[in-house]
Amino acid sequence: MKKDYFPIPGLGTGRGSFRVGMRHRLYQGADHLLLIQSTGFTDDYRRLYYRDIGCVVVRVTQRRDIISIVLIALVGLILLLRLANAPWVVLVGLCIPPLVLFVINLVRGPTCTCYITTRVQTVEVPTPQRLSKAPRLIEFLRTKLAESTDAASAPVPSPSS
Amino acid sequence: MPVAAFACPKCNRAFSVEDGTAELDVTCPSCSSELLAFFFSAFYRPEETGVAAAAVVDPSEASCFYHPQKQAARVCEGCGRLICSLCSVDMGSQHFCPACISAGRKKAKITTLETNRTRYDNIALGLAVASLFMSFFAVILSPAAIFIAVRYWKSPGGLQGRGRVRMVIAFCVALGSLVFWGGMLGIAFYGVSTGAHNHAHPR
Repeated sequence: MKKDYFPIPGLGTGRGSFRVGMRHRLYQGADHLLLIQSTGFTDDYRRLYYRDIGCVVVRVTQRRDIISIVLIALVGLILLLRLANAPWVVLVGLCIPPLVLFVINLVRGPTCTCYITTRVQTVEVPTPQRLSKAPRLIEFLRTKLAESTDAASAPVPSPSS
Repeated sequence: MPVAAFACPKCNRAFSVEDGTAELDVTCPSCSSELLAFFFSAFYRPEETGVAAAAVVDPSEASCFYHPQKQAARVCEGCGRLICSLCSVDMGSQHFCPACISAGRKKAKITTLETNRTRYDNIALGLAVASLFMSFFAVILSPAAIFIAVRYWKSPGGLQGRGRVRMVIAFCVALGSLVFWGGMLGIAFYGVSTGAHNHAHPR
């Protein structure tokens, strides 16, 4: 089966983007972006044509700080097990995964939510989720827009020919 | 000179943008959101108005299938009919006539018109996996998964692909689950009936 849709290079599809009961993903097509909102058993599709995209708004969010606080709180709870005379080896072993996630979360940079605006709608897209990756989406859209403009300016075959 | 505006996605406060601005870094005074906005040519493009179809002047000119008195401007990519600019509906880089749009929506023949799909592959896989963990319900869930995998084998998966592979996995898992749980239940009932028989006729 021929695939028409692919992940955006350097961005992925936003696989980890969940809402309540919904999973969102973003793919690139030949002349449009495909946003898939999936419940698991049904898929809803929204297409955003490159030539219609007028504006991309990136809103910086506090998600990184919240994730950091949750992970540090988890480490704190694990360390509280020392009160129950848990051995240090076990405590350190339990603390390593949240600490690794904490460092990864810090290194990946501030979080953001991205919106694509056309003349008739504004759509929240699941990727990029980190501010450092937003320029990749902009660069990708500028490239695609240039390609679609070139394709649109190509002569249309006349019906009489 | 402000010519266009975009809205804060959180509070909908409008921001004016001067012509030719490529990007803007602002903090929303209403909700204090830090916003980065990137603008493309479509943002400044004037609103497109409908194009009136030109009338046929020369009888040798190609005319629209639906409006014979109008000049043909395009070829419909669904049916191949000549259509005027009034009948041409643009779907990205493709052009369709209204009849193909209508038929395409009903019969799902034009992929770009599809707005939703039922994922039978995921349903079959979900039932098959569920049957692995539910011993008694497996005799219902496994045949249901097999039925869906066979009945909807030809139905398209998601637009992003991977439909058939899940169907195959669902079929194999459901079949394995049916054999395993069916065998277990058979052994259990056989054991019970044999035990009862031995109890009734002790040697």
